Amino acid sequence: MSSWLQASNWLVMLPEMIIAFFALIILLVAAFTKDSEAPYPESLAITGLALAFISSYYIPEGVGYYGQVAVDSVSRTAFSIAILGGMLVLGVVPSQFGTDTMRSETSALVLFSLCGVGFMVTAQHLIMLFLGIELLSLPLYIMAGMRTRDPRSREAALKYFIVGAFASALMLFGMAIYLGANGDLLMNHFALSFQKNAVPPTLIFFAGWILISTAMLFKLGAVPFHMWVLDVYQGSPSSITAFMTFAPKIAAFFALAKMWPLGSESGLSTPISMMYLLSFLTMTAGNMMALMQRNIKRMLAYSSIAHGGYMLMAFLISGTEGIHALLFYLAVYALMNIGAFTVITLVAPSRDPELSIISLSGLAKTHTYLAVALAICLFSLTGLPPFGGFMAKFFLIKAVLASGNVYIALAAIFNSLLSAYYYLRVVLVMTTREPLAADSDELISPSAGFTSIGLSSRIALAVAIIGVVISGISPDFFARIISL
Amino acid sequence: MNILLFYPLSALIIILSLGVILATNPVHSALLLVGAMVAIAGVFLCLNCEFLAMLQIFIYAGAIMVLFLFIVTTIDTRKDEKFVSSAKFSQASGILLSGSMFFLFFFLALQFVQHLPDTGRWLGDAKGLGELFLKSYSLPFEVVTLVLLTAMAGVIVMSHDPLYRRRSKEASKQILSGGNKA
Repeated sequence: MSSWLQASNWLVMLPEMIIAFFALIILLVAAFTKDSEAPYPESLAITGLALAFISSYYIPEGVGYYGQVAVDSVSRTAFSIAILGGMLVLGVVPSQFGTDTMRSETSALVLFSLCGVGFMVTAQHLIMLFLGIELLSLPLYIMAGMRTRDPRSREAALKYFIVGAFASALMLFGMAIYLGANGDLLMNHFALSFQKNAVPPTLIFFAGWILISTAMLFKLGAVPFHMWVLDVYQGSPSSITAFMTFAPKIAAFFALAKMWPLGSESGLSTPISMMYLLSFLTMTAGNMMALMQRNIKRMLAYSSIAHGGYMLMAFLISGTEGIHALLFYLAVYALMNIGAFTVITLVAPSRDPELSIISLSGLAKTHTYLAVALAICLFSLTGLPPFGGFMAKFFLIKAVLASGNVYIALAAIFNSLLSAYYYLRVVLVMTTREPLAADSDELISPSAGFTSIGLSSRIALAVAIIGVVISGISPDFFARIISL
Repeated sequence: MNILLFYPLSALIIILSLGVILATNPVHSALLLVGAMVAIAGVFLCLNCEFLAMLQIFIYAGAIMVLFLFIVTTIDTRKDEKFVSSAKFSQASGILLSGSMFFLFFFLALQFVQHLPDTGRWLGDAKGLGELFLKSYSLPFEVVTLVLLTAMAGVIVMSHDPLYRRRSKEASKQILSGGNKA
């Protein structure tokens, strides 16, 4: 027994174990209590995540479970970002599902999904990676369809499920080919094959590699594989959309980082030019299509595609600098999106359920704080200086320039300028337009809008906004918090 | 690996799988899928994995497909509802895509034969599988349970109707209040 424990180095998975344990507890509590007397399941979930976050500082680094997983500082930081984001999202969940009975299920599913993120970022074996992807995605499919009465939500769940199943099938096919090419499913063959002066990989290895990478690109919504993003983000409940924008991205990016040669370190030109093209297409197409959106959730969906394109640039940088810039970008990006979607969650019930941008008009007069919070998030998403989005783009573009890829950096800067139009248009609508007629009732009785906002979502929103501001003013301090 | 058995079995799997997606009656699809599963079990037998072959038949053909059939029969599918998409564009693009994929992987497979690495001993018997599950694959084995649990929770959530309980509560209240008046 003790020899098994020693051999498996089981402590490396402690954060995931804690999260899974709390998810099971939440499900059990939900099963044995009535809806009316159920304690706040989110508080239990947040406690679990906090414990997991603390424990991730103390677990040993290294390989565990017979080479199935490996924890290093990058995977640990990526997982910490996902955990912190998950805590904030769980703070918003009560206002989304306030009258519903689905809150404990939602909390448990968020925890399971985060577990999947943990397995994906630490996976060293393709079976682990595949199970991680499934454990990450299954809860997302379910949560996308949580508003069972809303046809849009059902459509989102079905579309996400079918596209996800397709991506999983591609990945399994790729795994079969990879097994044939290498003789086992360990992920270190990627790194070995892409070393400098290594034996050039066979065509069959490339086929497996492309298929597995494609599954990851599906998950993060890079451009030829982005069709699902729009309807899924729009149809899902807003707080869940906030979770969807960052959790699969974190997992997919760091799984991809383990199987993709970073920059020119491999000496092969094909992966670099592929990533060049992917990154350029993703950011440009995302921004172009976002320009034309009238619905704020659809606009943010396209903006998330565009940001995915910026982040893909990190793969053009050799060494650890690109990965660190990517971690910082993902952390800031998660905060910005949580902030924006929290405001949308809070505003939606009192306004247009379709959430057209026009329906936000006059928000600065009716809900000043929410309007300011949304404006800060949008400024940050644009990349304006005092906020985190600027520093994130700055670090990334600086590293890209240092690696000698001038044109893609210029494209990213041009795209950021372009994106200012659609982000700032929302701010303009919020401040300069008069509130819509339907909203004036609410002005008379402010109780309708404001008191329904739960305390926890106010705290989550405040933390997200403070994070966005701090990461812009003092990026070093912010990096220390997320244990970079 | 018995090549003489392998080729007929693979042909059978391909034909049955095509039948699964082309059949317009979902019950036929499910039954053809059972056939494909049994044929896959045959491939496992060719690889000297008797235990895996048995599990394949027990679990897939026996348990999962029977559940499939249960669900298909409980869902009311009318004869005029065809599963096959009739859109010309999507059909054409589907054929084009799968055709090009087929040729791509056909040529890859030709190369594949020359580069086949040594995969070592196939652990297809009960002892080998048990060793794998409890030692090197102990973590994935546990994670599978989490995935299944999530799927189970998902089924409950998706089939749960939030208004149903409220309505039934109101109905019972009405009955109770009516009883009090009487």
